[in-house]
Amino acid sequence: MDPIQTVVVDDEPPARAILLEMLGEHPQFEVVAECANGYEAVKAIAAHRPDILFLDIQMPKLDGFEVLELLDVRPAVVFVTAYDEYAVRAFEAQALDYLLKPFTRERFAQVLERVEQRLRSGDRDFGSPDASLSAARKPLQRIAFRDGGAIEVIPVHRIDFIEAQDDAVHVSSRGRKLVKQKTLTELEQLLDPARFVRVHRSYIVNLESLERVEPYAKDSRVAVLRDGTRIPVSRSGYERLRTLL
Amino acid sequence: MHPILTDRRRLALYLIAWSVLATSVALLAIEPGELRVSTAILGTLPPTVVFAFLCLAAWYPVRALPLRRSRIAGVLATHLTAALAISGLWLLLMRVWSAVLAAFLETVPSSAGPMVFFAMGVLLYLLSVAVHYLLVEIERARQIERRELEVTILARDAELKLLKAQLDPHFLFNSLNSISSLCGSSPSSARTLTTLLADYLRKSLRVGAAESITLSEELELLSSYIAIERIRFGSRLELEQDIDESVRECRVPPLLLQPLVENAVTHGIGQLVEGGTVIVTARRDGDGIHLIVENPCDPDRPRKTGTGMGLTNARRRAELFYDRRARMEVVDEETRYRVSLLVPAETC
Repeated sequence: MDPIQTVVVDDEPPARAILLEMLGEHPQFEVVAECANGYEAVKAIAAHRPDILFLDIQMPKLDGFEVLELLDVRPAVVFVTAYDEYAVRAFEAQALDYLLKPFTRERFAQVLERVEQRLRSGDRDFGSPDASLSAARKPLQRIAFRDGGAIEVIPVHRIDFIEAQDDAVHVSSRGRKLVKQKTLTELEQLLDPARFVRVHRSYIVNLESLERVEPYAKDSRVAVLRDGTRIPVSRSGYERLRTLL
Repeated sequence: MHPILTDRRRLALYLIAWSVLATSVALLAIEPGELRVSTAILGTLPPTVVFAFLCLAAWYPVRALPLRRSRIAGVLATHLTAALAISGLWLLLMRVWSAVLAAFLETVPSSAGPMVFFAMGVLLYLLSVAVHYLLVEIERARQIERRELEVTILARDAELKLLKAQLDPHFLFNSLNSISSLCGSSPSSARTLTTLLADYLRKSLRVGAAESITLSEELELLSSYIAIERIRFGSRLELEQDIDESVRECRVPPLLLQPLVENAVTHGIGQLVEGGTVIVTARRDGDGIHLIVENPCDPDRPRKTGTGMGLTNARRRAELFYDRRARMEVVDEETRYRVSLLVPAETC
């Protein structure tokens, strides 16, 4: 039988050490990469296509949930964390298991057995990036983008507006456009409705970036942002804006 | 609420005391060779019992005229008037009672010496006034005691809450996990970490219970904390201390800087992939001390709504300890976060 390809992600060296040590006692698991942060993890997972991921949640820049959201193909995931308050979100992200630090050998062996059973069963549906995004903290605090190997994280207060483009969205932040494979409606539901307004079928605007609303033609208006960008405002979008301003 | 009437034990004591007084009153009524004791008691007891209850009315003027807040002349005049009136009433009762008895008995207790009874009545009523004042004072003392107890409990409570906030459970769990992992790979490091953790816990428990500690002690605690976190963060976390020797012995409230440093580690350095250095500075500034905790931070961090718990706590503690002579300032820049506290330099 092929060994189970395993990736370990934790920003704390001792935490990685114990996972490696305990995994070492189970030769059917082969650790192909060891990552100290979310960036390394996204790259390593794309490169190695592992079967199983042991993933810390609290990490700098990219947390465990954000890592999952950036993956094209989801491996099976076991969250490893000292925080018990993420259990529900881990469940929503369709994690296979949730290991609370510190844990015993027995508990770890149990988890491995479960992982092995699941992998050998041939059921390879370990959840989608959507599942991990909907498990994100709401309202969204930041959005992670991935363009090939490059990863960028933007805090939501720096977003000026978001524009629908075919089956993706363009997020504009300080004059730059970043692409996210999401629909505008999905993002609208994740963002803070008190700060981000759907002013048009194809546009969401950050109220903090809004300078003024001008009449455009008969019965239509345009939103002018602080950087001068002009964005069409629909009649229902104007109603939404009016109730918020 | 009447302090005697509403308390059965006190009422019993009061009546026992009066039974002694009533007997003495009866003895006063005996004129040598004329009256038997039983007749004297029969003659004086019923009006005296009524008088005993009348004396309880002293509570109302006592309550209306607390000694602390009333003019002494007014107090004396009021109680004296009441004493004369009630004593007169008592004499009247005795007269009426004698008249009633005269209708049935041959030997009637003498009504001789009414002035003696009157004077005695006045004194007895004034005694009752004194007793009531005493009871009021006892009640007051009890209330003060209770309030002091409440204050102590509140302070203890606050201290406990502080300690709970201090001993962040995640910090403990993460440290325990580090120990657990080091047991296999490096038992001696595991032992070191266990000692560091025990040392830190002991220090923060001892220090947390103290009213104030020296800045040196606080800085020592910070070093222990960073030493533990360094095992988890590895080379990502550094601590730099820049302390004026002249302020080391100044008194500060315990755990004043600790939450600020903890913030700097978890929200600052912990969010940086490459890590960074927490800088703690203490400088003399006239007759004050300038305490600064500074750390680099992620420019892409989500904006915080309001100040964190740790900051609010530190500010409140400084305000309470220095009686509002402390100032706190937060500088939240793109890549740096700095909290500075200006507090009076107190050395003892």
